[in-house]
Amino acid sequence: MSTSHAPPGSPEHDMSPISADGKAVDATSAPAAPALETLRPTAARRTRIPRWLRRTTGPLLLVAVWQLLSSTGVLSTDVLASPGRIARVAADLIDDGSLASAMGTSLRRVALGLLLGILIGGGLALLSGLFKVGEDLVDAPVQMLRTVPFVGLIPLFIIWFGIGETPKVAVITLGVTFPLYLNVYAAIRGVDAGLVEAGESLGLTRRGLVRHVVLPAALPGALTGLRYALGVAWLALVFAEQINADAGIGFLMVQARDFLRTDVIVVCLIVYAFLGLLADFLVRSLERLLLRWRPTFTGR
Amino acid sequence: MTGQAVRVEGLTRSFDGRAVLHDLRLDIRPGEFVALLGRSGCGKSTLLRVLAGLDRDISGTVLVPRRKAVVFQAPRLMPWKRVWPNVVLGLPGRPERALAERALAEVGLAHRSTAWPRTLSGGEAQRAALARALVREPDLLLLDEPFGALDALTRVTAQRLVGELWQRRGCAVLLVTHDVEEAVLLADRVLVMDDGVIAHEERVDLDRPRALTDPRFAALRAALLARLGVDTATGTT
Repeated sequence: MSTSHAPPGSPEHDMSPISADGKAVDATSAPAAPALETLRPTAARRTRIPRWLRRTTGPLLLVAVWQLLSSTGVLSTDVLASPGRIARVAADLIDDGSLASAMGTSLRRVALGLLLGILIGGGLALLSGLFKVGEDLVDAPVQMLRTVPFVGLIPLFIIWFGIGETPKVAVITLGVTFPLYLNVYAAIRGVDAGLVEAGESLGLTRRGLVRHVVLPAALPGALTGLRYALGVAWLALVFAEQINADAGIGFLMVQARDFLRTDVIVVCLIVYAFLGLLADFLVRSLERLLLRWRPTFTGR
Repeated sequence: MTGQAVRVEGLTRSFDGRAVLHDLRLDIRPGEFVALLGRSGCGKSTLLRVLAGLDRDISGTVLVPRRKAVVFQAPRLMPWKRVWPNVVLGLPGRPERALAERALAEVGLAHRSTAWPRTLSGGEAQRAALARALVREPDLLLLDEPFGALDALTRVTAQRLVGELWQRRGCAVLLVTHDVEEAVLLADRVLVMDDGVIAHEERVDLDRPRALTDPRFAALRAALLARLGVDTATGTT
């Protein structure tokens, strides 16, 4: 396919009478037509390798190099176990059920902490986002507490709650509460005033406004907060489980550290990463479901 | 009180001590189409917001019908609701879909009733906003520069649509605009606002549908432009 930019109405002879040195023969006629080139569509120039294959090649190469370094002895087992060995250990841990039970314990902690954090963080955000009185009472203390690193509270939590499940869930709850609060609060306060006004002019009551205008408008921001809160939840879990745990993935890791088992540690790290990925996938699915009205989410 | 659709007396609205509306007086008869002209910042949008009940920080007497509807310059549809739930949003009880469909058909948008607002074109979205206003069966329809954001071609169609809907519904209309031609084309009465008061009033007695080529139309337009401080001496003599 070729593209022509010559004026469509120009007479035929204007294109041809050009002398050998490239100048137009007749100076008074229309300007000489420039040399044309074909613009090739980008699709034709692209390589044939599918994108997913190109994207998986990188990680696979990395694992191959890792295996090579391990089997030639450059990377000693004390520093990092080989991928093959890690796969075998993972299979063993799955077979004897210890990985499944550890995952169950950890997941329960995260789920509980997340639930409490969403209730507290979301509830406080609604309170201060929707009501002026709520804002005056809630926002300042929350903003103050937010600056305290939640991990630093672990010793205090152990004194308060002992060494059982409670301090671990409490740390996760605390970690989840603040990012959720900040995002939901900001989302509620960022609702387009024009839409609120339109809702008012349509005769919506205050409750109707909250339900049909403010909350749906705040949903994208709230989901961003949820995704961020999930990331913090895993982080809090890792911290909480390193201390005084007798079950869970973190406990498995502490145990492995005492026996210099780098293979088990890597398996645990992979499990953490996998769980984080899974949580992210869940939030993405939730977004796709709830935010269908956004043009970026249509047609997928 | 003799049956009026709008009665405003001694209306004052101040922003930080500066009176945007100053002891304003306005009457609109039922079924009357009134256009409100004025330079930007003259207070015409403030007046519309007061009549819509969106601005209550006022002093003076304002009487408006209970059933009123607003169409803003931007469509202001809720993007998370499809078109038809947007149309019936805020109606009491559980409004039926058929109700929305009828209003949408009236503005020629029946085929888009399940679309998401963000997928509508500018003209379509504004027609949906018009359907949302009509479904309330208002006695007073407030239009705040509803054609301002539309392209020239769409605007002509939309103006004609509003004219037809008004004739069919018979509700009082207050159209805020800065387009003199639009005002003369649609309104029974054109008000010019200046410095927070209605400074000038012009009755438009031309037969409908009105033609832009009518010499009386051109004369009215020139007179109003002159009122607004735009010199048209070179165009019409």
